[in-house]
Amino acid sequence: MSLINFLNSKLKPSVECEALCEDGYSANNLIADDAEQLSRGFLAYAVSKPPVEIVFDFPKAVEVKVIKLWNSNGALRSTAFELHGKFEGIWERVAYARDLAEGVDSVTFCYQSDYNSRSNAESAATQAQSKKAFFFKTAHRLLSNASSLKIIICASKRCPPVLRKIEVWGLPSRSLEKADRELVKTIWSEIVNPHGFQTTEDRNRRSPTRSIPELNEYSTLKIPEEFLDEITWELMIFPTVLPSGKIVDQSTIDKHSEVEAKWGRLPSDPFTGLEFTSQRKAILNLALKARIEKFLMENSEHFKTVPRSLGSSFVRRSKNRHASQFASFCQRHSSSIGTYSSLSAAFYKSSSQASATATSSSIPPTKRPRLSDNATYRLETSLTSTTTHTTSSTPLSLSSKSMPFSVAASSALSTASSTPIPTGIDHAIQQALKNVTRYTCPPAETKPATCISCKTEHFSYEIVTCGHLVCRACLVQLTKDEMCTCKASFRTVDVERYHKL
Amino acid sequence: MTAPRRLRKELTDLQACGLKSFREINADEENLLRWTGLIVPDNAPYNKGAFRIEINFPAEYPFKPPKIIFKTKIYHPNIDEKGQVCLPIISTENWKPATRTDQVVQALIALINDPEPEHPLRADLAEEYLRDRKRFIKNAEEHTRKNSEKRPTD
Repeated sequence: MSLINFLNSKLKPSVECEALCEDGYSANNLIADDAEQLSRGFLAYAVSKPPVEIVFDFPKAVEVKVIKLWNSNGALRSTAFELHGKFEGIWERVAYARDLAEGVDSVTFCYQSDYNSRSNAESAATQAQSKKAFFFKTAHRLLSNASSLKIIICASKRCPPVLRKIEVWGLPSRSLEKADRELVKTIWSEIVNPHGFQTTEDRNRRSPTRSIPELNEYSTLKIPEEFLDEITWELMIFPTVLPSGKIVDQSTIDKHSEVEAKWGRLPSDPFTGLEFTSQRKAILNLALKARIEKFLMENSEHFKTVPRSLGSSFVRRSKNRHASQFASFCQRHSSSIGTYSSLSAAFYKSSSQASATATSSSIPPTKRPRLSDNATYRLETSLTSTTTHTTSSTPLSLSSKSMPFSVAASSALSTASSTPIPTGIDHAIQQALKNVTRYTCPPAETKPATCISCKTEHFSYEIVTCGHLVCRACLVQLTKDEMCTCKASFRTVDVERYHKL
Repeated sequence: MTAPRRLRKELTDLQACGLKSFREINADEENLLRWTGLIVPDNAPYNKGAFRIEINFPAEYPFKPPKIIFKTKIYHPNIDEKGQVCLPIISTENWKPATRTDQVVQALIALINDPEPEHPLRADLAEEYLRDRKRFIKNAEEHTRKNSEKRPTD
């Protein structure tokens, strides 16, 4: 159980000292709330001499375990202390420390039985400056239920008595009501971690907490090794291919980058240690992700929870998820930021136009969610990747043509993240378009190709020089004078067999 | 704990591979983050004894390196009196999350068998190792005989 410093101002101790003090160096400084006051500590008036008594009172009884005091302030130094506890109204000495040497910066009082050689060895560095003193064997009677404590500064080194700082560590006394003890502990936990809630939230913002689909205890399901992160050995939610070819979860990369950032290093491949660059970076493995999703869906009864990794929540999450990646991306390619923002401006314009058409054609907005999650998701990825790769023309023109697409486009834009997928952009867009319900006509297809001379659809040859298609009968006619119907000359070698798609 | 699955897998892998020079690998029953094992070096002057070590994994493992502590006293330039080891592979700044515990153990065994007096934790022993190898070996053998554990028979 963690000890509590009962002289923290939040625990409302009180202090009393009858000796005169230097201005601004009263004993109240020792329990002050203000950090500046606290750092000044106590200093008796210039002409006063030891002994000086300082009495601390605690609102709730304390089981004192450790008392630490700092005896010097600058060149001024107290050299002997006595500790008194109160039992049935009578003060009794519980410990003392005398003849503190020059190098000693602080004194720690504790029970000999608590004195652990192991923990002591670890703090060897601080040992030299901190003197250790033990409570008397009889002290337990006085300190296990102490509501006040007296410190006597018995001697000082040719200066007024000084006490820079004091901490009284212990637990709420066992004689207290349970509710009281709990209250003290809660107050202390708030003191120790005042922003407990915020810090966890902060952490979430940088790298979202990983929600791994957890297997039920009794489940014997074996997860294929290829679905497991090669570093954490957990099931992956966002399988990402590293430049080294290894596949890990995006959260692993984020966490690694976070640790590396502490050393002032840029995000890198956790296997090779090579920094990510625009050419060499982690890429989301969509195919594997699809397979993992399928696996999860088929075996969902084996899992306690399956986190949502698609759809709207992904949009929000991906923003955080790739924030680090995006930041580094911006650093390296500051030039591309300009293009990015101009692109986004253009995007907003076109999407507002698209929404205008949407209202005029009176499409109920409820239609939007009807797009399958899958389609939206793929759209987003393909779109974001296009924006980063500055081939803006395609998505822009598309968005003005088909309304739901532009909606998805604007939401994809709001992610402002870059999930760069360098290959198969066109393919991805086509795939996405297949799943999208269109409310306006797609661009008219080109007229069905025909033979250049007889206008039938039985063509099977192409004249490479002019690109016209001919049927066999016409080709025989045309090869006689080596002239196409369009008056372009060709040779027999320029004729190739044409394969219909 | 960040990666209990990885720890469990590494533990079973390490136990299954049956290293001659690292045995009796056990995780604390309550705490998977603390392992103990027995180092059985092959080279003189440590080949007469065995050394108990403790591997402590941080909660953030594998993003932070494990720590190794020698529970058995050893006369070695790279291991101090408190049992702390200076092993570059598990130093905080060099740590790679992809490093597996068996690699760490291999590195440790290599260090035990061949001390590196260039980066000592105990300068006196490093000096003795470099200046007067015979005396170092004599002292180390003596120390091993007095302090180390019994070697497993097989």
